[in-house]
Amino acid sequence: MSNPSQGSPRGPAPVCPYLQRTPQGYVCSITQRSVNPLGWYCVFDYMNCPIYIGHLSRMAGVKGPERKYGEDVVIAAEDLSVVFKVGSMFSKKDLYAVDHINITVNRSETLAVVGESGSGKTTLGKTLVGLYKPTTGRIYFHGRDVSTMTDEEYRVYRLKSQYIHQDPYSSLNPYKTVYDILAIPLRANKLVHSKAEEEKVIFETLESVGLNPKAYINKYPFELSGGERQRVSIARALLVKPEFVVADEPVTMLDASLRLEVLDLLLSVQKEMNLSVLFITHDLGMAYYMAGERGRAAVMYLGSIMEFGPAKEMLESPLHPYTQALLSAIPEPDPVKSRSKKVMKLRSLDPPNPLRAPPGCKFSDRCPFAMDRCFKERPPLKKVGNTWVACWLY
Amino acid sequence: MSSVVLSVKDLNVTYRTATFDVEAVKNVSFELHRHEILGIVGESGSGKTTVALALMRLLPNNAVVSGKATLYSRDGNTIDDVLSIPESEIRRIRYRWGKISIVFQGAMNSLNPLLTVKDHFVDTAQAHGIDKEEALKMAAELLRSVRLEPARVLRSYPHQLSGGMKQRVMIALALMLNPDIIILDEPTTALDTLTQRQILELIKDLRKERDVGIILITHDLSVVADVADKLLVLYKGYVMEIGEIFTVYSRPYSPYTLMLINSFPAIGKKIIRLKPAGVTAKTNNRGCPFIDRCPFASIECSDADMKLVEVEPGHYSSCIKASVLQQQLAKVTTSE
Amino acid sequence: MGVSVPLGRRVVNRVVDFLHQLYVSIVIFTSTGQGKAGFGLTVFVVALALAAPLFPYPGPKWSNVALQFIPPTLKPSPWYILGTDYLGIPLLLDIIWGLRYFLEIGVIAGIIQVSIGTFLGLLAGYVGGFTDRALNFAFNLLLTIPTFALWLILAVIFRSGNPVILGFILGILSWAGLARSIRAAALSAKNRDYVEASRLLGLNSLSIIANDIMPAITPYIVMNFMLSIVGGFYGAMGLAFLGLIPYSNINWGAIMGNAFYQEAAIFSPTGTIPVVILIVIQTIILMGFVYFANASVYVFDPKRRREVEIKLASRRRATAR
Repeated sequence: MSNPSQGSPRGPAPVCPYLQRTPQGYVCSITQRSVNPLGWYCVFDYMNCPIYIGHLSRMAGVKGPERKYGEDVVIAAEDLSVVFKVGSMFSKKDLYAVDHINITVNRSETLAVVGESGSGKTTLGKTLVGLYKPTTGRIYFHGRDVSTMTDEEYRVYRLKSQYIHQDPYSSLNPYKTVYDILAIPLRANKLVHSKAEEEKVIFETLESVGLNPKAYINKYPFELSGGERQRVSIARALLVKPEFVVADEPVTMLDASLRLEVLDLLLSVQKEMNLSVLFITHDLGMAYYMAGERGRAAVMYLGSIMEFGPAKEMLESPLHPYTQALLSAIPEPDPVKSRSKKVMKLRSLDPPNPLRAPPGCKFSDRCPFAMDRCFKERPPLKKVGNTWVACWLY
Repeated sequence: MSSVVLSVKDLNVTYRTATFDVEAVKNVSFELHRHEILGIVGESGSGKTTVALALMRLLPNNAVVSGKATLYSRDGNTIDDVLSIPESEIRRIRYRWGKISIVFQGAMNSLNPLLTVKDHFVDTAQAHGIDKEEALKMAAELLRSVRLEPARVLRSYPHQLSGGMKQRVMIALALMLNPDIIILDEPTTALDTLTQRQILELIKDLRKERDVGIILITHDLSVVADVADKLLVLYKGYVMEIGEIFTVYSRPYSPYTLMLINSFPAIGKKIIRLKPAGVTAKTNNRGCPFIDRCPFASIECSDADMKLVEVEPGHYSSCIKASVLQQQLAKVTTSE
Repeated sequence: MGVSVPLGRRVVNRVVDFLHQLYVSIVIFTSTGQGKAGFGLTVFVVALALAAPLFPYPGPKWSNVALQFIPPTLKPSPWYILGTDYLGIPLLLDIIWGLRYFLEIGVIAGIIQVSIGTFLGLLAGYVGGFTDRALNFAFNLLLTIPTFALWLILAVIFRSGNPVILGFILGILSWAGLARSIRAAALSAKNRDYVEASRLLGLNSLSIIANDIMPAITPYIVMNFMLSIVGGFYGAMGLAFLGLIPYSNINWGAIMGNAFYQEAAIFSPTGTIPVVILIVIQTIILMGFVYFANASVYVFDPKRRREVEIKLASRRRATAR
């Protein structure tokens, strides 16, 4: 813990927004404990606040029943299902966009969620940050069940979990300048206490995403390119110093030559801020790029996880037939590799219909290795080596 | 490779608007052979769709076209100056669809939701003077050649077909009059991975089975790497590089191509990251458009004339530093 | 960046900024032919209405039956340039004061319509669910009720020519159309990605409505406001024409009604002149308002504003050299 009077290298440390000044002295508004700001590292970065961290432990119920998840787990989903009702007024059917999923995301790690359209990956991402309500199952934030949180805790959970949209052309308010887009959340959450501080934070955040502040603050979104817009989107998500960010196909709509820059930005930001990133994509190559080093990956199909484990292993030698099919199907940029690849033949060419999933394993109607059992029973996730696979072959 | 089916020299397209002119395509030249797939790769603003529209003679009225394009049809006729013959002549020789056809981007949305697939075929055929009986026979054969079951598909409406199936119907329609050239503009975007694979396999089969030249336009290098024989790299209207795909990939002679190749992460692949040299373009419109992002740029690049120079047999580059690029590249990669 | 600016300076900056934005808006208005006409007419009409007290009031002392229905003439005084009405009062004065009268009615009706319509429309569109269904039902119900019939009834009950009361009556019954279109606009704005992002960033509903939804619906509000003024015009004229509100010679509808019921054309060969003049003037004014409403949509488009600012800045630079 550094001496508070030193502050951060870039100036005096801004005051923690949860610090309340009462006639009796300073009080932390999360814990309602009185504090002495001189002895306490009041920072904008909650990760270093001992009170906040202590509070997180409390949230995880250390006193009560044993902590459900380890220290390192930031977000966990337990038996999570999100069901939408589709169909006409008279014949409503249940669409299991997310079907009984169990998943955890650790601190400072990248979890790549890979799936095609209709696999439920976007729904999963949005549910984990609180945009959709789970139909059944629970979400745990730092070990604390979201559905039983107090208002204050819930607010912290929502602020600490952010989301980056796929479409840079609709994720920014077209009527506001870049400055306003970033200033409004700061003011709404009372994260800054003066105009000077507000300017400073906005300038710093823009610099951290590689945009020259002086050039961009007065621009409207329509004056920015797709790549620049995504950077502003990322800057906006980082303003509230989140712990967990869901990046939903953030570069799919950008030109190829601009993608790497944005991906690299995400990786560097993650390292700097110790972020947990849930990276949603349909491109296995990108999943490898983002999570290949030390991250994990999950392959989703029609709302269920088919394979889940360390990204490098999984993507280099996949176990589940669906992952293998995906891998053999993606075109490689290297013509030599691409043409020497063996294409896996699927039994059916029809794309899957989530409303009419096969009774057993969801992939059984197309899987070339399907056995009798696959048509009748749905395989659970089983650990094979370091990876969890939902397949009767194992 | 068999004979040339299309030869394009110095194609220039400028769009005239009330306030300024947009030079969309600048001095593009290439050749397309029969049974060959030419992949035109470019990002947004590269002019790739404009090239396709120019060849199809589908550009809007405010487009000014110059250059020469010659089509060597398999029936022996040679159509000189495809770009400048009058519209009446275009219609007379049934140029569009008869000699060259196109499957547009998002073609799945080009199907009329109120008509069945059969109606689409019959309408198209009748517009070109083929009677209904003949049209239906052709339709069945074409659908089979794109791996669709005619009985079921012909009586379906577009909303009853999946994205991949609709794309195949569009390809079948494009093949209807047995053109010499077929252009595919982004045939696999908006399709999921597994369906993409099927369409790519289909394109490869088409090349083998039919006597056509195929131009494949895309922004995705992986698609081109999989099916194309030749690669043409476009950037801001200029041809940066053109050559056989294996050679261009293993020995790129244009820094833009190099950067493009390194923008597609793949499993187990090492990415070479190079920083721009920081040379700013002079404000006039000349010189290499890639100068401000190029890691090997120098001040001479702003006067480059962007002419294609043969660096290896059949392999052309417009970069003035092409000859030294390979050495510089070797220096950079070994130093990492 | 840390220097604090004195209060006086800040106020001046704000005012200058506001005037600049106003100037940009005017440039956008006048960029099309329609816009020029609409803007010019509207400004002219409003100015005239405000300046009405500078003109003599067409009260009973101007009444001179001998001068009934005289065609446009400069005798006995320039005020008679548009002729006279049934009572021999100069039509020009009727028109000028009538403008003021109608504008008052229209603006009051407009304010009421826009406030109720926007509030309920936003409520329905943004909140959704049961509130939306209930409100939507109410909107549709109100739209099926023949408002004119209700106006008749209310007018008879109140028996007043007071512009405030008339404005109130006309406004209170016709907000449902606006509410519906605001609801639609709010619904579509609500589902945009950037609204989702605002919710994630902890903005409360009021904030989201103010920052994200309002800019999208402001053009609708302005357009509808102008159109409500037009509606107010017609409503008040209609009621007067049918003789349901106490006769007032500055209400053009009353003049036209008089001409109609008194069979002015038969009574005097020049009896139709005031009617024709009034119709022409009305049409021009109301068309002007509609053009203004059309052009006002572009004033809110940040892209247009930016284009204009760039053009102005480059012109300034060109003249500075």
